[in-house]
Amino acid sequence: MLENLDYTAAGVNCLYSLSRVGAGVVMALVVGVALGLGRSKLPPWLKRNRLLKFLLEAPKFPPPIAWIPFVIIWLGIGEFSAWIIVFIGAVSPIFTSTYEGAEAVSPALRNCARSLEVRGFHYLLRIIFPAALPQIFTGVRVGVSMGWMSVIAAEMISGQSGLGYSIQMNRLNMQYDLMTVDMVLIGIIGFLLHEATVLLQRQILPWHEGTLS
Amino acid sequence: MIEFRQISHRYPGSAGDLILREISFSIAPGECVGLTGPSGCGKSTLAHIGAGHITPAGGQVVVDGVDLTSRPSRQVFLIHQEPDLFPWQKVKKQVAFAMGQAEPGRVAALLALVKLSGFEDYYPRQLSGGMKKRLALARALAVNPRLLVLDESFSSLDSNLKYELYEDLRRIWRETAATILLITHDSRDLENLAHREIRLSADKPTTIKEIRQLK
Ligand SMILES: Nc1ncnc2c1ncn2[C@@H]1O[C@H](COP(=O)(O)OP(=O)(O)OP(=O)(O)O)[C@@H](O)[C@H]1O
Ligand SMILES: [Mg+2]
Repeated sequence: MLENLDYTAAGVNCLYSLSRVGAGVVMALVVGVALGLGRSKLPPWLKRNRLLKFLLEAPKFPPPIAWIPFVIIWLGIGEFSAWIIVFIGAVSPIFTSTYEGAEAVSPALRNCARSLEVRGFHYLLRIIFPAALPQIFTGVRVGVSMGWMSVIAAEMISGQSGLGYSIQMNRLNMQYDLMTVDMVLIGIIGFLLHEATVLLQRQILPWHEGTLS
Repeated sequence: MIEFRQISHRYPGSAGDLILREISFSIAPGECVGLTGPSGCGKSTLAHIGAGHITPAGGQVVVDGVDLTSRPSRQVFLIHQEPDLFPWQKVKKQVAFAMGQAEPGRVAALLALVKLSGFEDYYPRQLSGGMKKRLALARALAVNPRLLVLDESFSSLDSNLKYELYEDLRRIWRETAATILLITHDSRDLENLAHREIRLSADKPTTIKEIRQLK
């Protein structure tokens, strides 16, 4: 058992997968938060508009894995395609939680900000964004997990490297013990990624009731 | 001079019944006026109209001759019944943020005034109920509004603490000469604070039942 385990190759594969998750999640964070805050700034009649709601909600349902063929057709096989798959997995929970967090800001806080004459972009950045941060973090936690699962799927189908690719190669070589090692690594890293977001939340949100200290 | 002119209000939905009818009164600079009335009569609604958060069905709020109806501004600042401190701001930041431009000396002075010196780096969640109320007061004073509206700000607190805060408020009011509209459902709260009491009626729609001179 495991006599063929190449520690260096396994480590490199982990790093490949991690770098793709990092890039995709950062893109998802920027786009998801911006879109979520932007949507909360829409006038009420547009927020209620069924067509817009459909256009924003429906694209969440095809899972990232279903996007892989499209991304390959549009962008080919490569790093950027892997980032986009991760992005697709991570962006919708971040977008949704940002929007819902922004909508949930209490009227008391809104009124107070209006009385302090905090308006426009400042209002979004200094009031709505921090008030929504706890919810945004919930989205980031889910998004990171989704991104991690997506990158494995992407690498299995179109990868040249990474843990997903490693599973495929080991399957072709019928090295089931090494496949198991990959699965365990995916589990461990997924868990560590989750813990890292919790740590990050503790750093960024010391003021939040739900943040354990 | 702050004038509430013929304020009427109905909330959309609630059968469209009028809640407030043609309420008129004015407050002179430096005056402390008590607004009392039974629960649900519309005191908070009137406070929100005064602060410009709600557009009344009729009437105007006029501050020094300027119509500020449904225009929230630093002229009229309301300390809500509900908590409205920004949870992500430390104590000193809450006060500095409310001031607009940075005046570190004044932040310290205001925190001393409400006896929160030493708690500058606390977040709201680390403060007790009474401390939060005092912080809200410091922040409101930092805004330096023409009219400060206190909506049941202390009524949820136990009576000792409430008495203490009223004492503080009296001292602060003497030191800052702020103009205050003090809302409570208990006219006993007003005894040694307010110049006048405006009592709202219990019947619907609410009108002014009586205006009583206290000092
Ligand atoms: N957002 C709202 N929508 C509909 N009706 C409302 C709303 N807010 C208050 N009301 C109604 O308006 C009336 C006055 O409410 P308000 O909160 O102004 O009373 P209050 O005098 O401040 O009472 P309390 O002393 O209990 O704080 C109540 O009958 C209440 O049901
Ligand atoms: Mg009230």
